[in-house]
Amino acid sequence: MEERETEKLFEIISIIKTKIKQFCTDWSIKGIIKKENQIRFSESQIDINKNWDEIKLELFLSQKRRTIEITLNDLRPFTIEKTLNNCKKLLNVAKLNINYKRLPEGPFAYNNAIKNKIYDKSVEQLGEKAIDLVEKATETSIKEGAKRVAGSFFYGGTLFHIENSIGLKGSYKRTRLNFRIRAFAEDMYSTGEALSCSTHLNHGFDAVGAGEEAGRICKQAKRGKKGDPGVYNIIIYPKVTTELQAPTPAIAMNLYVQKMGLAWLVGKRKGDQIANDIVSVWDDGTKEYGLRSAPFDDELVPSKKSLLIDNGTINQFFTNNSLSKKNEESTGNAGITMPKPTNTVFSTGEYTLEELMEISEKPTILITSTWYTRYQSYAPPAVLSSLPKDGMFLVKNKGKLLEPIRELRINSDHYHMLKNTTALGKDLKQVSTWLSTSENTVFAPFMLIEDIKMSTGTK
Amino acid sequence: MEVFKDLAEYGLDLAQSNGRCCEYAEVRLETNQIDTVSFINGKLHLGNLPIDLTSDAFARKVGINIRLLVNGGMGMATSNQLTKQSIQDAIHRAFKTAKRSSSQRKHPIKMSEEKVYETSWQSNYRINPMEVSLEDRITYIQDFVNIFKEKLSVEYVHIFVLMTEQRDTYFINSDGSKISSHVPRVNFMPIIIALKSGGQNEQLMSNYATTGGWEKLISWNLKEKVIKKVKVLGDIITKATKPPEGSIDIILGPDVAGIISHENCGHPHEADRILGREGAQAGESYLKGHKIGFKIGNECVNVFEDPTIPDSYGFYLYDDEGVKARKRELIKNGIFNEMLHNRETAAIFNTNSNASARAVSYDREPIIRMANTYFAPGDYSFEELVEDVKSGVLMMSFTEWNIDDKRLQSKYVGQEAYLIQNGEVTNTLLLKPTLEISSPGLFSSIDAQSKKIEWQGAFCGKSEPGQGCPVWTGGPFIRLRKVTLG
Repeated sequence: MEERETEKLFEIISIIKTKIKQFCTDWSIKGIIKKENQIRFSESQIDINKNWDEIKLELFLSQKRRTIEITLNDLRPFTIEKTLNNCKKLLNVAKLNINYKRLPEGPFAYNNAIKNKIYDKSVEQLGEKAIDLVEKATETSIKEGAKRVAGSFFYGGTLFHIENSIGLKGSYKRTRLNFRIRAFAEDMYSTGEALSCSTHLNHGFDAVGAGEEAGRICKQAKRGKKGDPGVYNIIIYPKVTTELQAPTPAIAMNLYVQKMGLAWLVGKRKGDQIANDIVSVWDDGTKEYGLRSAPFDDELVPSKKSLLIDNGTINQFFTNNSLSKKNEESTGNAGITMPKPTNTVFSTGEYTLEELMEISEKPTILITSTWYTRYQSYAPPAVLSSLPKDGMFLVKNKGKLLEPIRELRINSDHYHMLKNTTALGKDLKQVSTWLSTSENTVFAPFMLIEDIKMSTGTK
Repeated sequence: MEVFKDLAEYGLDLAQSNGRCCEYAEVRLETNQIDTVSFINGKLHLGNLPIDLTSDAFARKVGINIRLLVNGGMGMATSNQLTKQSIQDAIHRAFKTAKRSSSQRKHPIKMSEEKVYETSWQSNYRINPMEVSLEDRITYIQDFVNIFKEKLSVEYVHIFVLMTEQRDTYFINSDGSKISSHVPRVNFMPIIIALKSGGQNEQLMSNYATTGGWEKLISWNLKEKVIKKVKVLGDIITKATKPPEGSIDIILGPDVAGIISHENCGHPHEADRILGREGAQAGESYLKGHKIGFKIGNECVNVFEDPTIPDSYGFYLYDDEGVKARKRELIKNGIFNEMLHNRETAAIFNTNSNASARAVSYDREPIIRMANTYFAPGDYSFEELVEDVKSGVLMMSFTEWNIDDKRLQSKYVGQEAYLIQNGEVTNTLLLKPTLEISSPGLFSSIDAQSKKIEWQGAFCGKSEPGQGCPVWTGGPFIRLRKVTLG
């Protein structure tokens, strides 16, 4: 980040502080300097190369627990003045926010070692090498069997700085690499998709490997036939968990959402069984190279690794300071008024993908990708359907043969899927998918889920 | 906005000077303001909401977007620091990235030739929703919250979201166009879940949205409509019975017709999907490989797209590439008639843009989007549609829905749905009748439509990073013959 931009940020923060101290009892200012790039490509060519340069502020303002949150990226002096005057008027009319009590007092001890595990200078300096990576991944995918590819590559860095009315302040930088490639055969129905994401170029990031995987799946998916509806076991790729499994720990285990009644764990509490006992899930803001990792949350509470689901039972919901019970600590997931997930991390098992296919006893479908998950209701049990796309395979002969199939839809609910998760892969992969239901970053293994209804169109 | 027009002009001049050779350059200066007031189970909430209901509840944004076409490669740079220095840096970045992209392309990007305009336009309103006081907005929502203070037959979770926003743009390009726009919008979203002990529940999410000002929202008198929907939700979970199976006739209400026009027709007609540009995001189109003139459905099927409909949520008069908006006839008499184009896709198809390029804020590229998509009305009254159905279903609204990434296989689960018998709609509520059908199967099953269109607001998701674009979807009642419910 250039010095003049950080100077400008602190200058604006200083102006805002002077004003808000006049009418706020509590406040927090989060300054963000984002410098990011994206290469979008399709038909194996670059469609557009984009570049963002943004300074913005996220303000939390409270006047005796009447609260408002506002995002300010219009940093012109008169806009700041007008906006803050307007906020003052809004707070005068606003009602008491029963979900907000106070900011945490501190002081806190931070694990600053995480800062080196989420920031990689070489990512910010990637420059034209980014295009080289896209080209190499494209070539590899085509070599594996694709006719053409499409995809997206985000790379860049962001500076975060937070200070609040308690007197706490802190800064950190985080870089992001998010590469996704989709391979198409001669027809547009045989496709494969793969992704790779990390904060560091040399840790867990492999664009070329993603290209190889997408091309391989695409080739395997050729000459697929319409699948037969019925009840199957499914084996899902890690990225499918962002649609099918991660919404429970990432959304429904948000204590705020629970209290709203807008989630499928309403009525559930600590100790209740909601998943098979092989499943444990953490919210982990300390995960090395995690896209959502940070030294602290929006309240400057140190990031934590919080066990949400413990061998299938609820251990805790994730919270911020205000929603935490009197004798319990925040899980470090602020959002000051509404908690938010960091990295959702699943437990692992003992199986490779091949071994999962071997042990699955009923007719089994291997699903590499899904999208457009929609709910009938967010209330329990959260009945949903989701559409597999890209290579989908009927597993035959214990996985020695994969028969490509198409046009099937997953119909299930979150309770059923978590309880019927009967085997887990042994390796975690970091995934962050396009417009996913869980919205955050997930570390997940391959999963075997039993007894899923698959349907198809009737005309 | 006026103060920064000079900066926009400066940027455009800079983009074409100092040895930079661009086939095309454009600068879009934009301010966006959003205010969202919500009530969650009766409690006022001034902040973000989960599950993608809102992510920037209150926001003030300003920024510049520069797109340059250099040697057939496209670069885009944005900044919210509106100084000459930051604009110089943005031009430099956009130029450099466009040039590097061009070396990788086999086929250069071209832009279609379009008319040049110097104009300004705005939506037609009397009361800007952004200027309505917080007290008045709270009073408006409170009226709906009070519905749940009465004794009701079942329990409810109720969330009401009132979102007001305003978008002002100044667009200039190397062709010579200079266009200013001003559009305030308002969207009222009730999210209601009826709950019965024992686990049954039913969820409603609606969007009542317009660019026609605060007065338009008030004129809709939504309270009675919402009261009725609340009662229906309660009835569904207490009284609804299993729907008929096998081949039946089905009449879809305007809500369902609207979503079908959007999902099964609007999206697959987007030229960027047909060409593969959204291949890794929202997908492609089953129309890829088919030419204009391909038969999609029955002759009575007409699906149109029109940004110029007054008060509509997707309203605009010039798109974000400076092209004048007009009605688009996507399916005409059952035939694939017209795609949605921007200047890039129009050049590939050797035609003109039909003004489909939209961006939702300064930091997003303009891409092909719908505006207001609808089934054209037909010749029948609602009663005439029903009286010719011996045994069937009336699906007034939907709950869960999705469609594959080629826009071929779709699913719509009915919410408020009734049994039709012997030409009459009965009082028998049906539980989640499910229509799982392909797009050609659907369009070739329609045999009649009623005369009056009704509209629903929505946010359409596409692109990466995502752009939730305000749209209307609409239609009359439409009748389908011999379809199978799941």
